[in-house]
Amino acid sequence: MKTFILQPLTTATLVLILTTPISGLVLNGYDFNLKWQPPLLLALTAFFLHLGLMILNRRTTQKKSASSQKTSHHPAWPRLATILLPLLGLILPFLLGKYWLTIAILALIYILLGLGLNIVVGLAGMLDLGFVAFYAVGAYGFALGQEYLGLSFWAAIPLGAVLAATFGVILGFPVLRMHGDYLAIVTLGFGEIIRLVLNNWITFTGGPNGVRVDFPTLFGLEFSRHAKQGGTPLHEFLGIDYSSNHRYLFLYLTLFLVVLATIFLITRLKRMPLGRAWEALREDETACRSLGINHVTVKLSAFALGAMTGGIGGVFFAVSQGFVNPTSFTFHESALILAIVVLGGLGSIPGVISAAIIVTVLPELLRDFSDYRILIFGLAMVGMMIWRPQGLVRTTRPVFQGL
Amino acid sequence: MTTLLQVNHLNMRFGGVVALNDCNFQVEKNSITALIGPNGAGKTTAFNCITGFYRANQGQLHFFPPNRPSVNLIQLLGQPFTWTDPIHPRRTLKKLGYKLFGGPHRIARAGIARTFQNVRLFKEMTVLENLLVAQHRQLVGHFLSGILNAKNFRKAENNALDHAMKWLAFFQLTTEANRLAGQLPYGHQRRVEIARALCTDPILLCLDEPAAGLNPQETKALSQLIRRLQKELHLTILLIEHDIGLVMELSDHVIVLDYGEVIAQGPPAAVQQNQKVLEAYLG
Ligand SMILES: Nc1ncnc2c1ncn2[C@@H]1O[C@H](COP(=O)(O)OP(=O)(O)O)[C@@H](O)[C@H]1O
Ligand SMILES: [Mg+2]
Repeated sequence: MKTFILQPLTTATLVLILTTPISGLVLNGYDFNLKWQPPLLLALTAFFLHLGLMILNRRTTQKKSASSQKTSHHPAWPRLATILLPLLGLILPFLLGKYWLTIAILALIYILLGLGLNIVVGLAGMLDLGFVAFYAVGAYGFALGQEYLGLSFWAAIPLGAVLAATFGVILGFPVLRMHGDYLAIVTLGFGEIIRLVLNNWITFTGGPNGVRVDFPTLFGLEFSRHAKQGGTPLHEFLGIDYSSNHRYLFLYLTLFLVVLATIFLITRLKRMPLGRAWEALREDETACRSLGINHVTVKLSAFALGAMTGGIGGVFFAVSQGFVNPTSFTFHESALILAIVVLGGLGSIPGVISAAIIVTVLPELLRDFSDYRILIFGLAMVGMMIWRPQGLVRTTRPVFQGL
Repeated sequence: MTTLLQVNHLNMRFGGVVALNDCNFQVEKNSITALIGPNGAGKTTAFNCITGFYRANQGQLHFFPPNRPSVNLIQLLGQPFTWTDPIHPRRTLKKLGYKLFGGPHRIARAGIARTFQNVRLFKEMTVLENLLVAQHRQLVGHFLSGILNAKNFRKAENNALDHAMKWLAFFQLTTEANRLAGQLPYGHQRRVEIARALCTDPILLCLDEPAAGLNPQETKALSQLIRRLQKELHLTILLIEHDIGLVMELSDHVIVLDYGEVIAQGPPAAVQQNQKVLEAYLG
C-alpha cells in the first residue's frame, strides 16, 4: 500500500522540479514572475496518472496469478472504475471553462480517432499511416453534405460513418496482400491523395479556403444568442441566460456518449469471434487461413470499422471547428494518432484513452514551451521504446475461469 | 477401404526447381498414411498443394468426404480465366466466385486441417483463444447477439469453450489453458497446434513433422495420441515424419518421395525392403 503512494509521489515531485522552470517561470523584461498553477497541475496529473497505471497493471498481474491458481479473485475496483470514470467524464464539462472545454472536446475526438486506428494497427496489426484520410472523409462528408444537400448533423453521424467505412473498404481491397512497410507506404499515399484532392478540387471543396459548417440544432433548439436557422435559441427555451459555453457543453456531451458507445463496442468485439480473428490475423495470417478464416473479410472489417470510427471523429471535428480545410488533415495528424496508439499500448483501450488525453492536454499545459513540443514528444517516444515498449497499459488477455 | 484423398499427376515447380514431379497417391479413409523422404524431397510442398497454400502447376486433387459431395480442391483456389470462358457463362461465374472468395480457407472448411513444420501458433494469445479462433466459423454468425452479449451468443461461446477444453484434455494441456501460447515449452506448443487443428472438426488431419524437436518420451506419447485419434475418433491422418521408427510403428501406408517423385509406396514392411528407398536414404 505504501508504494502505491510513494512511487506516484516521487514522480510528481520529479515532474514539479522539471517543469517549474519550463511552465512556471514567465519572463517579464529582465525580471521574471513565478506562476505556480501550471507546474502544480502537471505534478498532480502525473501523480494520478502514475497511480492509475499502477492500479491497472496490478490488475493484470493479479489476473495472471489468478489464472495459475485457478481461483476467481475479483477486485471490486475495476467494476467501480467503469461506473465512476464515465460519471466523472459527465460531470467534468460543468466544471471547466470555455477554453478547457474545447480542449476536452479535442481530447475526446482524439480518443475516438485513437480507438479507430487501434482496431487497424493494434488489433489487426496492419500499419496504417494514412488514417487521417478517414477523418477527412468524415469531416468533409459532413461539411460538403451540409453545403450541397442540407445534411443535418444528426444524419451526418451515421452517413459520415458509412462513407468513411466505404472508403476504408476501397483502400482495404487493393492492399489485402500487403504487409508491413509496403502497406504503410500505400496507406500513407492514400492519405495524401485524399488531402490533395480536397486541396485542389476547388470548385467542389473550396480548396484551401475550406468549407464553413453550421452548428447543429437539438430538436430545433439553437445554441446561438439569436435564432438564425429558424428555431428557438436554447437559453430562451430554458429561460436561462445566454452563455457561449452551452454549445460546447452540448458538443462535449454528445461526443462523450459516442465515445462511450465506441468503447463499449470495441470492448465487446475484442471478446467476440471477429475481434479474436483480427488478433489472430496480426499474429499469423497463414495459420488463420489454415483454420478456415477468410482473411479478406476479416481484414476489410477491421479497415471498415476503424475508418468508421475515424469518420465519426471527423464529423465532430468539423462541428467543433465550425470550419474545415485541408491543412487539418496532413500526415502530421496521422502520425499523432499513430503515436497515441503506440504510446497507449497496441490494442489496449485504457491505454489509448490515457495516451490521447496526455497528447492533447500536455501541450496545452506546456504552452510557453511550445517550440520544443515536438522535441519533447520525440524524447517521450524514445523513452517509451526503451522503458515501456508495450505501451502505457499492457493489454490483458481474457481469462476463462471454472473450466 | 474407400479413398478420402486422391492425388493425380501433381506437378509443382518453383522457377527451375521441380519440387513435385507427376506425383500419384491416395489416402484411404480412416488410415494413417505417412509421407517420408530425404530433406528437400518435396514433402512439405505436397502438403502445401493439398491444403491450398500453393497452387499446383498441374494435376488434380480430389477430396471425398463421407456423406458429402466430393470436392475438387484445386477449383477452390480459383483457377485462371481462359479464352473459352465467355462460351460457358455459368462456369465462368463460378470461377469468378472462387477467385473472389476462394483460397486455402475454403479447403480448411471442406474438412482438411493441417499443422506446420515450424509451429505457427498465435503466440500473443492464450492457448484457449488459439482454439477458439479455430472455431471462428461456428461462432461468427452471432454478431448482433455477440455485441449485446445475448443468451444464444453466450451459449455458442460456451459450447466452443467446452469443445476446446475437450481437446486440451485429450492432449493433457488443461492446466495451460490460460497461458500465452508463445510461453509454452516447445513440445506443448506442438500439441497445442494439433489441438487447434482438431478444433476445426476436420475429416483429414495433415501433420507436418509433428515429432520434430520432441524428446523420445514426448514422441512416444504423441504417437499414442495419434493412434487414438485414428482408432477412437475415426480420423484420417496424413503425416510427414523423419523418425523412421515412428513411421514404421504408426502408419498403415507409406509413401516415399525423392526429388519430387514417388519412388515407392505400400505397407511399411514392404517399403522398408524396397531397393530404391534404401538407395535414397543411404546414397
Ligand atoms: N516457396 C518456395 N520457393 C522456392 N522453392 C521452394 C519453395 N518451397 C519449396 N521449395 C523447394 O522445393 C523443394 C522441396 O522442398 P520441401 O517440400 O520443403 O522439402 P521437404 O521434403 O524437406 O519438406 C526444395 O528444393 C525447396 O528448395
Ligand atoms: Mg518439410
